[in-house]
Amino acid sequence: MNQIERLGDLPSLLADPQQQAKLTPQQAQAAQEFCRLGWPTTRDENWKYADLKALLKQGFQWDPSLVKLEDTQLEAAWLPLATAAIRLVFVNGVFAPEHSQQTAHAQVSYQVTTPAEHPLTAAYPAQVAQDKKANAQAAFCALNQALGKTQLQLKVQGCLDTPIYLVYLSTQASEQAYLSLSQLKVEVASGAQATLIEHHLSLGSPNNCSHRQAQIQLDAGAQLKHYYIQELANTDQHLSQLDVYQTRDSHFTSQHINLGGKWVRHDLDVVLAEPGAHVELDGLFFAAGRQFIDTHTRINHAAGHTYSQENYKGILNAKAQGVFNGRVLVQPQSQKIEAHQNNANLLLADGAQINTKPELEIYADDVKCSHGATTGRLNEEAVFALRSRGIDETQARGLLTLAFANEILDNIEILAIHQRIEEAIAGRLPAAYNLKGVL
Amino acid sequence: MLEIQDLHVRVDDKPILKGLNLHLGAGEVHAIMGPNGAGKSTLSAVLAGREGYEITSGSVQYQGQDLLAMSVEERACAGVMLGFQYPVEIPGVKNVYLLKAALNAQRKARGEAEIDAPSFMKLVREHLAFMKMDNSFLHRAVNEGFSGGEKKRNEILQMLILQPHLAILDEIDSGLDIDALKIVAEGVNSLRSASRSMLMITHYQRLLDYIVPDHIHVLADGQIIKSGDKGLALELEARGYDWLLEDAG
Amino acid sequence: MASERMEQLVRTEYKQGFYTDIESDTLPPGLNEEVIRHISMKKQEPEWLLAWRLEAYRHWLTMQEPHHWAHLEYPRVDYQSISYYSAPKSKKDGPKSLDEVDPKLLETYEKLGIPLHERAALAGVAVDVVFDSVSVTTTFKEKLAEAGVIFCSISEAVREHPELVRQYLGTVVPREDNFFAALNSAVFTDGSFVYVPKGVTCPMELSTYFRINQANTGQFERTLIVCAEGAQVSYLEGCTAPQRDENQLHAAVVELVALDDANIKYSTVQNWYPGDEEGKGGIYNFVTKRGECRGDRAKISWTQVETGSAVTWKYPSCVLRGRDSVGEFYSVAVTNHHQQADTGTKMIHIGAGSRSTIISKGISAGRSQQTYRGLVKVLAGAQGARNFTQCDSLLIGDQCGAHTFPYQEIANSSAQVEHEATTSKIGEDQLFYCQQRGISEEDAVNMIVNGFCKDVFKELPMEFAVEAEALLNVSLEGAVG
Repeated sequence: MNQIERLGDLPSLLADPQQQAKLTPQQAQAAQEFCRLGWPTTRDENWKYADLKALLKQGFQWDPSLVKLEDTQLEAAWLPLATAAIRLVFVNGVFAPEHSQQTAHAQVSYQVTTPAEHPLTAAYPAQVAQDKKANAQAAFCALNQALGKTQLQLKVQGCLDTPIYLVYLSTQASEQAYLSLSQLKVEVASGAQATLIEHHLSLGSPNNCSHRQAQIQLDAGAQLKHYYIQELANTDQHLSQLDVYQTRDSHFTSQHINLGGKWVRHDLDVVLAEPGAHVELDGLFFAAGRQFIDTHTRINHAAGHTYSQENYKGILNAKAQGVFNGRVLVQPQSQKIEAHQNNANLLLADGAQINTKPELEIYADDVKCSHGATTGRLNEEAVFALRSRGIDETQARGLLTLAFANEILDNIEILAIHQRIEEAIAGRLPAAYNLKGVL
Repeated sequence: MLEIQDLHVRVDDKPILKGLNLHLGAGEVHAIMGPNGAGKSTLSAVLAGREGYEITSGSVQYQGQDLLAMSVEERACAGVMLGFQYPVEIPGVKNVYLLKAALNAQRKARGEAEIDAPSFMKLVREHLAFMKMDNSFLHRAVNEGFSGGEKKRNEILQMLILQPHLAILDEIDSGLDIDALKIVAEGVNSLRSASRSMLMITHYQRLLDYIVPDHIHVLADGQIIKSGDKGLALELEARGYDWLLEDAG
Repeated sequence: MASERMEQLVRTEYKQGFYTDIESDTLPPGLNEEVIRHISMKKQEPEWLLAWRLEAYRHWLTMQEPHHWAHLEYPRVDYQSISYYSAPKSKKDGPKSLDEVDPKLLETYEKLGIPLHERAALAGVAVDVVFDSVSVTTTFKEKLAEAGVIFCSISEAVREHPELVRQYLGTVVPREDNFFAALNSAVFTDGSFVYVPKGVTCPMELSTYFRINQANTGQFERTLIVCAEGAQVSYLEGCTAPQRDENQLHAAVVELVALDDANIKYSTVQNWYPGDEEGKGGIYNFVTKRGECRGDRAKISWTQVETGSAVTWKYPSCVLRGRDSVGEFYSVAVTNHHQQADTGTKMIHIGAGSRSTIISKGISAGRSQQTYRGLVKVLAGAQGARNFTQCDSLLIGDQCGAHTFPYQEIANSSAQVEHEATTSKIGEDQLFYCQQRGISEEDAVNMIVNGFCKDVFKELPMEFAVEAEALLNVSLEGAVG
């Protein structure tokens, strides 16, 4: 089975014992799990605003032999990084060694394998997490396990001073849209440090659907900077589930940038399992046209003396819809924790919509928690201040919109990424803002 | 008034005070000086009864009572008052409520009736004026949004109203400009009397120009290593602490 | 602060937990169409209302008790074990004046601190008292009538002012709105009705006092308040129940309608029996309260002080339909022992220039769980809508939980919506500071908690602010952090 007329019919198709017989026992088990769970619906609190109906009506194929990349412009698409430890390229989820740069490094080892050979197990022990609401994409992850063809395993063992660059390309493989399923498993050993860039982009305007499931484990004292940059075409559909498991004194920072995609859903689950674990999540989403971008983050303080800070910003234009749901859970035994969360959104047009819900769920008493959410327009006093210096009003609005985004972008340490995103945002803002000349 | 004998205190298993002795007579003003980390703030916290300090040995007698056996409020009602180095902000609780609740609690402990509203307001207004504080202070939440100088003046205002027998002033001069320092010092000086003792903890000799102590002690590494009269302060100012630390070995 | 010490200090006696031994006319437990017909007949209702009830009942049968989304855990309610009608027996059809009211009832209300004789009553407050399923009496009716204000029980309103009731009943909270609203629409027994005509400012505070007395009885009151153009009213409800081991259900519906320039202030001091220290017994308080600012510049303000009930499920809301209309929600909720509360508000901005403010203060102690759940929704047409939400939780003890789930759904680019929330415990530094001034730990906690709630208390009518503060102190008696 390599294709389907209507994605929505997949559970009934996979329930067929004959289909399951073609899978390995673990994949068959995952297929059964997928059939049992079924597609999430908007009645599910986790999927309240993320309506899958349109996606489920579409037909997809997932035959890796059809994936070809003729385009020589590929290199123009990716980030002009001065140095990268390694660069691994995946086309519609399939590893493309010919486009990858596989330099050997003592600090990092990797292998590209399949879910069939190395089934992903739970990202962390369930008794640590104790969170019923986690793993919102369980059905998609089971599907990925059952039918996925690619799994990348990365191990960082020392201090890597150049970034690991992963490129995920979506391209038109054949007449029919492609369903790409991929898995990523990252382990950062005790005391090791690394920067990981995940870059999702499209060539042309494919209407594919990609699901990427990632697990990141940070051992004691490990540090990882994670850049997630999603610049898919506005025709593409994308889902991603990321589970981060942090042990003692580990440090995880995430810059989560979402600019593209027709329909995008993220679930980012972080478990702070041991004292001293520290996480900082920054995110920016910018949607225009009829784009839909939904981000759910969950930070689980499963141990005392843990720290989390989260800052997500959204810019919505035209008829775009954004969703942010940030959940902070503090377990009963987790005293002396600190958790701060903020979400600010800017609506540029009347048809645009934002649904945001910053959640705090607290079962311990010695905590410092705060959250805030604001939705609004630009500060009119600031607009006035710029105008009083001779800048015309639309350009002033453009500059201030960019400044709003820059509060997130300024934490991006890699210049090439910072510039690329800033230009991309300026390019997506209405032309009247006239920002080209300013940057 | 206050008799501290061989006081040993640990914080998180780390010894901070290591056999401190101090005799403070009625009507006396003593200053405790010393380098950072000598244990000055630990001493004030232990005297006030803050949690988290383990007294491993020694005794503290206050007016013939075992001070260490008393609860925080009992100490306060018995007239021990700490002027905080960093007065905490209590949102929503007006200054005037705190003052009234504290005054009445202490009056009750002494077997006196609650103060009536007009007398209370008269008392408060007099002292407010003396501390050059606006009436609006009363209706602001305790220390919320106060500048450093306002917080310290508020501490002294409370002392003027509560009239403690033993006032402990923990770095009451920190963060004050010279004008605010003068006002605070004036307030403290007005409290000096034959029946009231004061223990001033400070880093800087500057404070002692405005509140002249009867005795000065140098606290270093958990012990008093030198005592003297106000001349000692000038000597410390001129020569620093190092010569003393060397002398003490 | 040692948690055992807090536990010790968290001791409260529920002072309204007595039972009045009075002969009553109580329907046997169970719910079916016959029961609804019986209730309707007892109340001498017109045919349309019976039909309305039956439709609600039939819809209710298709619905499910909302167990999946609220942050509450309790066994499912057995709706067949509840009696849906209980009234104290009276010789005549209903007391015509206070002299005919059973002295035992008068005594009950004296004991609750609500004297019903007008000469002894709180000056300037008219009271409607609802005992189980019926309204016992309404005070100051004549004085109100002089001003043109109608204040009576809803049963009386159905008889005396059917056109008004029919015009507004179920227009803010439709019968099929939710499970408990549908149940209430089918079986509601009594509650208050207020109509303030155009341009009239109601000359006194209105108040309803709800009391559940009989065992195995549910209370399903229905309140409807309508303020015509430019009218103003301030209304307060209070609630208590006897102390019992089993849980009792209270599923009320409150509807408010404010026309152009009207102003309704609705305050609640909710002190239903919360269950004992082990979490046994107590009221299930599943209430739908909603106000609609139907006219331009209309204003509806909810203030609630919630200290009672074993389980609370309640979201007093405002539909801001009129241009420049205003919605407000001020709440203090205290949970202790094993109480659970899932409460908050919804502000639906439809009209341009509509504004709303939400101030919610939650205090959790003991083993209680408290959730703030709020929705701010700005529709595309609500040009220039504004909301400010401040939502703070205070934790006392390490066995309790405080949760915040604020939803924002914004579809207008000129809207300004702000939400801020904090969760903290009573600072040891704050307690120490007060204690160092000689204030006892308990008094210090009360001071800090009252300070924490100040923004809400100042919204209560004067007469009740003091009561609310006292109630809060009793609820937290010694719950020191």
